[in-house]
Amino acid sequence: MLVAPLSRTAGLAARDSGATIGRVKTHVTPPAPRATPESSFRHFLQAELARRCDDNPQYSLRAFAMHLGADHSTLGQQIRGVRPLTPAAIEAIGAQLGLPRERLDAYVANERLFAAAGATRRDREVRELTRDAASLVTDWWHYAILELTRLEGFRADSRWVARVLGIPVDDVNRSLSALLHLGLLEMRDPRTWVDRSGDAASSFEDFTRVAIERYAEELRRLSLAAASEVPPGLRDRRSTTIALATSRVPEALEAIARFHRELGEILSRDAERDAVYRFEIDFFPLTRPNAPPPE
Amino acid sequence: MGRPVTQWQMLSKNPEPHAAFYTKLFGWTVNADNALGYRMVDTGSGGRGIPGGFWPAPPEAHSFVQLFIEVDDVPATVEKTKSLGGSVIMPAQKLPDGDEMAILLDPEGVSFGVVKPRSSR
Repeated sequence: MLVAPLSRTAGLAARDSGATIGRVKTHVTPPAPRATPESSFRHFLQAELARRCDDNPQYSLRAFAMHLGADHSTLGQQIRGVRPLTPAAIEAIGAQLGLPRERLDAYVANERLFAAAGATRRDREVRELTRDAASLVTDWWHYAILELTRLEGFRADSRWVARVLGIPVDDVNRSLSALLHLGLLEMRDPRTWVDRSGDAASSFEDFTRVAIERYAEELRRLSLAAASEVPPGLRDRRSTTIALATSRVPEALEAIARFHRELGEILSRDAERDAVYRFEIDFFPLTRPNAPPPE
Repeated sequence: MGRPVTQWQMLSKNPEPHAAFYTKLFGWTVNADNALGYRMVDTGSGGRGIPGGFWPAPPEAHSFVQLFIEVDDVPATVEKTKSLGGSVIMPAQKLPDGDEMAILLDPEGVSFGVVKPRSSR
């Protein structure tokens, strides 16, 4: 009956909230359409599997794969978005499901756009997160659960979600705890779970960004609270705005990484510890990278 | 009406074997046949003591125990918690079984839950 909390320090770790401030696009990729069962073959498969599970309590991912003549493990990865849906796969699966030619062509075209829009942003952001936050944004099912809530046949039932996604119920419930904590999900009434990530999150990459932003908000709140509640001798907060030559940036990044590592080593020396601290360094341009230098 | 502690909960890194340990030790029974797959514990005490449950702990947390207090207004209790220096881990939610619940943190850093059972509405 009851949902768990995250620990107080859980996932309070994003360092990337400012990383894209002022970034200038150097090339333009055609915007991907919003991912829905009508535009995205992956979402279509999710919805189709959910519908079948809803119609038949015994139905599962494995049964779906068998119906399609596909390997259930591969199909599961494709539905989760961890394995790409190639044009050949869309053709083969779509044909099994009796989709008309024009719809298959549209799915193939859209998958290319989704792939281009996704790029490698997730990888880059995950590298810049600490372990706690990374564990949240790298588990694909956080986003998949939010996606499921938008389906007509959605059931507010962890067991149903687990069966549709092919993951253990405990993983679903861990995810529920995280999503509720971050405000990305709301259990509005016993039968309705609402995706609160907003229209901004239309892909796993967007979910990652929204999750990072929520982390950043939480961090700012904690930082402000510490400034007023914790005595100065037990905390430190400093920042500097400085004009610099961009040729020095690599050197600065190296120095930051070295300092970060050394401080971590110092603070990890004691076997017995009695507090949890947050340490964070932000280093980013206030000016746009391609803008004229400040006067 | 008072504000009784009505349930305990163990948040566990490995809830399945964790629950099995207690069922073997005390003869408790565990039933997860509910919408959240929540492992509800019946201590078989004929109404004495309070029931409990097991829930998966977040990946970065240690296993720990949490207490739930029954209230008649969950959102109001959340606000009162904040006014007394506590904070909110999880705002009020309506669970699939009809209960309303929030997870809070007291000023000493101990988390606890408040719940309004469906039956009390």
